[in-house]
Amino acid sequence: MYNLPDERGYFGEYGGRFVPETLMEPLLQLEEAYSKVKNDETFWQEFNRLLQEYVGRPTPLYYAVRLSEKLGFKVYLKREDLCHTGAHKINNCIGQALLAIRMGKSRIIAETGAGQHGVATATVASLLGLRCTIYMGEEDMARQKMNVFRMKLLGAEVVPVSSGSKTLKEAINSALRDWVTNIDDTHYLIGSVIGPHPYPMIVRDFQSVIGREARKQILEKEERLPDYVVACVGGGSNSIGIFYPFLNDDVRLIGVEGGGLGLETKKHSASISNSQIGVLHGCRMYLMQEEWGNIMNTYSISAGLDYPGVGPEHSYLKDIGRVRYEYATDDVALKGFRELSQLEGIIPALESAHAVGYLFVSDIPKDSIVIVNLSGRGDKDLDIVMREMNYE
Amino acid sequence: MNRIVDAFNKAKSNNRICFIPFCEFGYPSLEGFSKVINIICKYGDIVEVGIPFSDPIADGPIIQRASDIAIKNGANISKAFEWLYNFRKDNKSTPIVFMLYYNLIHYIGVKEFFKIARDMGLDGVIIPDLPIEESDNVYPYRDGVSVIWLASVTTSDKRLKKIVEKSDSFIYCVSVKGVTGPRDEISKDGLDLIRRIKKISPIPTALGFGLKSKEQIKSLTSLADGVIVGSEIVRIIEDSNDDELERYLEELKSATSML
Ligand SMILES: Cc1ncc(COP(=O)(O)O)c(C=O)c1O
Repeated sequence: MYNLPDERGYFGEYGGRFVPETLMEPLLQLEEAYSKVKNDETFWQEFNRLLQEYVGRPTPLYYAVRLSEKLGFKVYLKREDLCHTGAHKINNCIGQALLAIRMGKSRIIAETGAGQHGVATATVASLLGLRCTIYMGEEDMARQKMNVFRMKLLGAEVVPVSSGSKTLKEAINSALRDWVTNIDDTHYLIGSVIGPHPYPMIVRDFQSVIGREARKQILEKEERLPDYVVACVGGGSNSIGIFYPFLNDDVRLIGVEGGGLGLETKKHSASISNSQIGVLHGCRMYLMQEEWGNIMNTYSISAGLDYPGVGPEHSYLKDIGRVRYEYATDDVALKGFRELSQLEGIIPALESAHAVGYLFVSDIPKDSIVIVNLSGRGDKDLDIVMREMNYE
Repeated sequence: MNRIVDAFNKAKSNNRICFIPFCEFGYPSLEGFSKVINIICKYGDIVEVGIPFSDPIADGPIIQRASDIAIKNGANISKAFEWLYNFRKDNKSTPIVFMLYYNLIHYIGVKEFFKIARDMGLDGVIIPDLPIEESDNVYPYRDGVSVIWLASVTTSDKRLKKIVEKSDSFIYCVSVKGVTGPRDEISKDGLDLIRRIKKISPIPTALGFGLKSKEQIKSLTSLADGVIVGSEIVRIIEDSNDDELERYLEELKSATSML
């Protein structure tokens, strides 16, 4: 029976708690708080009520007729793009913010790449009356101006991060430095299944609502389980969220990483396909590095996939062969973006477009049933795609 | 490792506490570092050398910047070992401790890293992102090189006990909640941390993170066994000349006297 992480926070040889000593006590406190609410029905009632009434869950499982015709197999889209704020990120934010309140914290901080997690965190902070600071790389702030404005409108302070690559990796560094300084009143609301234990477990548990719903919905519609579940992988939260409830089933799971300009160019963010292992941001995982162990500056057309590591549970699922990890290049993702817009009237987030685009280059056999996790909507990416398509 | 223990004993018999200055390898330049470290070795009882890393999450702006510049200068762990090898040809007495993030050790391979470290004449390592819960990753492979564990103002007594059990030279006491960088005052919690360790063990303690002035150091001589000064030294290396660095180190060193 699959029951991970172990009590030290390891998924096989991945995970752990590689953090400054000062952060150990708040991590232990978080672990204890979470194990308390785990069996506390009032907590999950509140969580589920907000998911239903505020986020708009359950999200539909939509049979994409014209896309399926074109591909030759049946594609169902799990519509996380219809969540309030436009992506799956908010599921985790609601859960962690409720947890923060139980721990008596009055302030939450978060990192953001694309801005989706920042917006979701700022939203939940406003909903629950918590103070909120978001760290965002300067490069990403320039790429995602609308989301920066959104966060400010929601009442969050947005702190530009100007060190290193000025992207998600540095934003996490800055958030960790804030947390170590302000642990008394602050909860660090990590946005993906990365970081030190217990974060990868907590974020997975909050996101696995996606897979539980999808499993039930497909059984209702098809009276059987799907052959494939496909999701894009940045840090890995939307993918683990939909995979987790299928882990013990005879269902093939495929994670799609950001292939950027192609693996041979080194300009990509496909950490698992890259095969190096390392330790960053508190956990051991597949991690892209330079010679002698500095972390590589990665690249992807989508800010949300532009991260050098991947969650420890994915690292483990890769090694035991339970999940297959592939990648989609920028071009493949853009194809997915266009096709979904024109065939189904759904403009996906560039992250999710990697999963959709992958379908066009995959070896999935005719007549299969495939669920794709459509993790977010594409409004935030229109600027970038406009530039890519040379639209005046 | 023995050089570190000796340094604490020697300081004590001279009625001083240990002075442990920090500098960043490859900063201000690869050659500049070799010059700086020779000055620092004149004053330091133990010398802590930071190895640059792309993601120094425990460091404040001063050391972050030095680390970035050092990387641009081409510094890395391999070059640091090379430097140490040459340094040890002339200096067999100063205990040298590397401060480095765990991924740099992991990249080389833990076992291999400690073997090289011992062969090159390294005395200890401080790993700012490795708490005692992860000690199994390194503890069995030390090979005579000391792993210096950190304890912080937030560390509970229960975990402090585990840290003491695994310590073989001294304990690095983090005096503040936060990252490295000079501060004006020493927190009461920082002083309490040392008292809490003294209550359960005779292991030497050195206080670091935030120290910069001779007054602060003077006030610690009756309590701690050592003091670590980092960011302020890096700042002076950036802003001033060798004479001023030397004057500053001399001032701090004389403040370590218990008399
Ligand atoms: C819509 C969307 N999908 C996917 C991701 C990637 O993150 P994860 O792999 O944690 O789901 C992001 C991250 O910002 C996102 O905004």
